[in-house]
Amino acid sequence: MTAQQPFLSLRNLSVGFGPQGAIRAVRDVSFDLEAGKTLCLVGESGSGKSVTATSIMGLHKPGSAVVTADRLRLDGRDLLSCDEAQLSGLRGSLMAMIFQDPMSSLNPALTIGFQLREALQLHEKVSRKAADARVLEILQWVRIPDAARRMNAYPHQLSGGMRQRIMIAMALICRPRLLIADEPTTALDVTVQAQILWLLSELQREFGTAIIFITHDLGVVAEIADDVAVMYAGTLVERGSVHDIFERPSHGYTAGLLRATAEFVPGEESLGRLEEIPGNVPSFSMLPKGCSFVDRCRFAAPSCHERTPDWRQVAEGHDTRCDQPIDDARAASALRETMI
Amino acid sequence: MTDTSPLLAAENLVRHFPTGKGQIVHAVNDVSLSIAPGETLALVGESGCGKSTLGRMIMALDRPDKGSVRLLGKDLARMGRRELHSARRSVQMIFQDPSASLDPRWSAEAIVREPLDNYRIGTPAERRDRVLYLLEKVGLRPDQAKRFPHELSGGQRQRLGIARALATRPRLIVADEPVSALDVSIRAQVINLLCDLRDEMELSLLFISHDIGVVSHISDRIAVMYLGRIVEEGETATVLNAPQHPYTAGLLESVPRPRPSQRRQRAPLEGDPPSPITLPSGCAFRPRCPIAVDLCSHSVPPLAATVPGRRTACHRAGETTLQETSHV
Repeated sequence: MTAQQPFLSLRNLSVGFGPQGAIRAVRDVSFDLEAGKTLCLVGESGSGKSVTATSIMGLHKPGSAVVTADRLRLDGRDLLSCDEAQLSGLRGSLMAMIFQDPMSSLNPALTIGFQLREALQLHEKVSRKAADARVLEILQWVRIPDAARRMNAYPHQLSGGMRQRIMIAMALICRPRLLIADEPTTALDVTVQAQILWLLSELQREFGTAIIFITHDLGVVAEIADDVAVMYAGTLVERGSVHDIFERPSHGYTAGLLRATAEFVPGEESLGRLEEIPGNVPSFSMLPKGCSFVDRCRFAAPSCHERTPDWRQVAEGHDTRCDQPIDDARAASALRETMI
Repeated sequence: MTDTSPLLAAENLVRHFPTGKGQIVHAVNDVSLSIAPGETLALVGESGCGKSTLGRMIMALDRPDKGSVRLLGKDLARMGRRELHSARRSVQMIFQDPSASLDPRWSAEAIVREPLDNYRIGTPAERRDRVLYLLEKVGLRPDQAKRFPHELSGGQRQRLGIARALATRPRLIVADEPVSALDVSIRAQVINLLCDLRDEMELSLLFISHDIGVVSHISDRIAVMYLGRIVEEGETATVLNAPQHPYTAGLLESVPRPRPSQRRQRAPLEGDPPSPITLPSGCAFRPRCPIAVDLCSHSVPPLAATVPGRRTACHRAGETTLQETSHV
């Protein structure tokens, strides 16, 4: 290897559940993430985003999942060869995760201060007094007003947005270098979502944390991502910089998702009809032969039914898993067809 | 009946719920709105702003503490049981979660047929035909008529909910977040279906949603709610392009746009919406408002016409400073 290794590197990560891992919820997922950058993992429900994330964290119940990969390395460590005790030591200090519903991750019977202190003292030998100081500091970082008093509050006494700030504080208190955020703003109102997204990017600038942000909301992706990886039916179909993905999508699914999103742009006339992606997401037991998206793809060729496409590079840092990648000319002619 | 009279008119609706601890949730505070035949009105706001409670009162599923709902000129509260039963035929509802609003033990066919049986519409043979016609209309295949809700996908279940709502040939459909539980690729299908059916059957639609993108596509008019009150109302394109209320402006600015080259530089609105139990004095938006003045803390701004067809509840509406805070 000539260049320096990426901070996080996945090659052909696959995860199966059930007997012998027969239900393959994630197949051959590969991507890299540089330190201090944000990767958005985009896809619809059941596409395997969360399973990919929990596999990196090693959070599957022992014996419940079969995780295989050619490579799963974080900061030079091979996570696949780590045992549970080693992983447990890394969680919190090197990598941390926040979830959609903070209420289900916080203990309702313990104060915010206690739970944050516990998260810190699990990994670092610090006195009670020093721990309290660190808790207060991180609460101020996540912009909890009146932080000293709030340390004695219970989760139910806080609003949804405040609780998510507490979760972020708990995840960041040991200064992990990787934060995985699984739909952290989906349950929040848009005005509060905007605050949390802004807070995350501010903290990232300050602490240099790499972020994997899982979402189904393309608007959120455009707002925060450096790089984007698009998942469909358990596998990655396209990855590239946020500008490549939004401005030059090359996979039929990515292009379809972008055009199916109802967006409001001030000053622009809204189009009468949204473009649909026909059909439904296939279930894992009934994946079509060849490309998983073939039955819904407007650009599908006969060969797409035959074989699973390999990765191909469409531009520097922009790869697609499609044998008929969209180029501008073809997209333009397809668009004309829909107009008629 | 003339075409100018509204299909539905709600006047000064108030609905408060006791919490059981001697406190009161001010869910809806003095809301008036009307919907013309064939019109789509979008009710927009964040969670807890009272939009669903308002929808339920319009459906006569809940009674207002004060105020009235008139359907085709008749006050729902003054109707007897039988009259209300027949009035409900012309107002139907589509719910957010299709799996929670469809009986899991009934087939698709039985679910769509039930309102026809209930209102004794047509002969049994006619009902059977109507069910098949409706299923086809919403894009379900004939072989799916015998399926149970759990055998259908989320999008198909929502199509079934739409077929059921259409069964009695209603004049008005109240759709409470009908696409927010659906995946993006399915959402577009259901929105297009709703628009097509509305146009074809000349339906009025009260579309309750928090999704500005969806609302900009589907609605003629928009009413923005904040803490139980409508703060701004008007034609959709005008409101979205030139909001007059600072909350509308902040809400629009908060919606993430799928344009990576146009990122925001900061969060547009600070703070959380206050609890509907302890409302702030004066204007409920005052604690978060960037342009609040003294007057706002002791007087509730009335929802007043600013230009024809446009109402805003802000003491500072129409001042130039407000235009500057709204986005370009």
